Amino acid sequence: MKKVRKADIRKIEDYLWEIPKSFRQDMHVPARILANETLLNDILDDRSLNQLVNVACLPGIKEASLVMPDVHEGYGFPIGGVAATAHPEGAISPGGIGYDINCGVRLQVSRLQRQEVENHLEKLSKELNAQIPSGMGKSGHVRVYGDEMNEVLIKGAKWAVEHGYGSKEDLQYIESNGRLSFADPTLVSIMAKNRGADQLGTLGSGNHFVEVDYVEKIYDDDIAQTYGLREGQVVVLIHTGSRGLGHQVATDYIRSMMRAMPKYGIQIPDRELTCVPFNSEEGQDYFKAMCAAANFAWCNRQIIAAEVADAWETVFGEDGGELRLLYDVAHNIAKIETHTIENRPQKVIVHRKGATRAFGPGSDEIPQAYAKVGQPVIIPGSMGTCSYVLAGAAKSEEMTFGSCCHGAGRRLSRTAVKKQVNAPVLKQELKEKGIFVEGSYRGIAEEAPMAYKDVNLVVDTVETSGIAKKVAKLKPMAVIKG
Amino acid sequence: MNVIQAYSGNKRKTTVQARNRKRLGSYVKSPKGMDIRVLPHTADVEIKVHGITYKKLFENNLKAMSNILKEGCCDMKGHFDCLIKLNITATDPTNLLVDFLSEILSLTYVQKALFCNIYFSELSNTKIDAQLYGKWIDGFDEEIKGVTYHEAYVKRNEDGTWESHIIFDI
Repeated sequence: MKKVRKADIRKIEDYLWEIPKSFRQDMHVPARILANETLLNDILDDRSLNQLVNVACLPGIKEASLVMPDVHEGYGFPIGGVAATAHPEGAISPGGIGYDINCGVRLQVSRLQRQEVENHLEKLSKELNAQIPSGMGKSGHVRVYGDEMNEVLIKGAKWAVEHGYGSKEDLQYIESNGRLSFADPTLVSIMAKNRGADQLGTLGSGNHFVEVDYVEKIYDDDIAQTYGLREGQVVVLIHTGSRGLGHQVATDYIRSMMRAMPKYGIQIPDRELTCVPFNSEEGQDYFKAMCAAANFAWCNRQIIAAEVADAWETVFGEDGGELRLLYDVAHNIAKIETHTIENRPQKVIVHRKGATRAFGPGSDEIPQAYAKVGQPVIIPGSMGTCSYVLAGAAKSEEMTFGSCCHGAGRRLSRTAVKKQVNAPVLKQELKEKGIFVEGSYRGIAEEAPMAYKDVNLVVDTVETSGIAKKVAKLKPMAVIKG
Repeated sequence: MNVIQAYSGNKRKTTVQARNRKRLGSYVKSPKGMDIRVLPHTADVEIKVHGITYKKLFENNLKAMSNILKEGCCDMKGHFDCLIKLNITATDPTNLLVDFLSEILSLTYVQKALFCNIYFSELSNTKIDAQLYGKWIDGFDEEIKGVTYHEAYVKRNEDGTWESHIIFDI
């Protein structure tokens, strides 16, 4: 298949580019790239745009396949990809969600200022590391089997709250209130449930983390005030997903869809884009199982937040106060949403793989307290640079099916970065910059700042495009690597 | 993605690989009898595996995956802690290999065991009946989220050897 070159791409605006439908015969819609020219040149280095073109071939796809500025090559969909398919007959593709169903981020805010925390960072990072099981094959403190597991899969974050992890108020600050109602635990395999049985409250490995940050800069005073953010304030960022349970749901249904696809006469350019009509039996089974896995992920992050709160209390006692949930948002998920397409509202199945929902002011889907300013969009950078809090804007619903970037975007492989980074030296360098890192040397090297694109450039592109507004910049103080 | 190439059962190829090792630089410790080469890509891990027979190809893929999960694990000798029967069917050799690795990956996590040894009672283009031998372990080096079908293939080369390509989601 021919590789996408810059000459194949036409500029629509400074930050929006398009590969026309005529690029390949099997495209149903054009493919669009949200990026400035510098990022576009980087993006052209890997095969993510060819993957974007493949996504444009999905049955029932609407308007355009899209990538955010943090895009990089994945499998099937590129990471940072968004696609909306017609409801109910359009395709649903597990490859458009990924193996880590409802991988997402959660931001907890404290009442402490940077100066009150910085002398306790070493103790805090060790306490967080002790409280939160992380790394491969590590079991959590919570075990769920049988009917209890089914309850987790139905109730999501609510199950955690009912069992003493966090408060009822938290639920309104979680995307979809931490629970997708279509979830059906009977469609989740025994293998998946077994894999998840001891994984609630665990981070996992790879790029997952818990990070203590302080607010370095406020860009929009009004929105920051609405979110309860101020300069110097210490916050905690949590990044993880549905662990082995979600990975198994994806594996199970990709396999079953592969077998079902010929029956619907669907032909796709990449096996990993396997899909079926959403309203088919196989499509419905996957969607309901995926919703159950998403609920597991929200429950997981709710429990991790309680573990963070325990560590916080151990270090700061009553003076530390509570850690309030600002927002919890998914970046690997499919949801049924209504968007204006061809000048009329249409129900679509929005696939977000490495993309964050970013609804603007007035949306019914966002917490009432944030209704006037838009949904918080949390963008983690890398452990040595910075992260951002943005606010979703109405333009995201016009341009990107209400979606935004999800991070900085990887630019170097784990192998390449390990060759260039001496983990003990990096850990010491970060410590000298006031950033305490806990985790295996292997994990620290793989996630070194140099492995990622410039998050500032990614976020500036997003803001220039108008799909989200910068609210606050966060600087890391302590990082617990998965 | 990281590209890993695995060869086995052929001294000449091993020598060629050893020469390439100096040129290409990046290697990880490999199971005995196999060379594993890691090349830089953006994300995930990609393995290209060779086998002198179709059966050897599947065995080598198993060892290559286990070696990613725990470096050097297939060099360890001693007793086996668990024995599991595998029955897998698929539509073609490529899907069979992906499903074979996916099934073993799931068992790895549920059993908290690594599998380096397998006895095939049946192995065709579309079916596997086998016994899998594993050793329990305390932890892994790397987490593989899934075995993807993306750009996966199994093919027979002109010299009669077999070759496969698999990308893991990390």
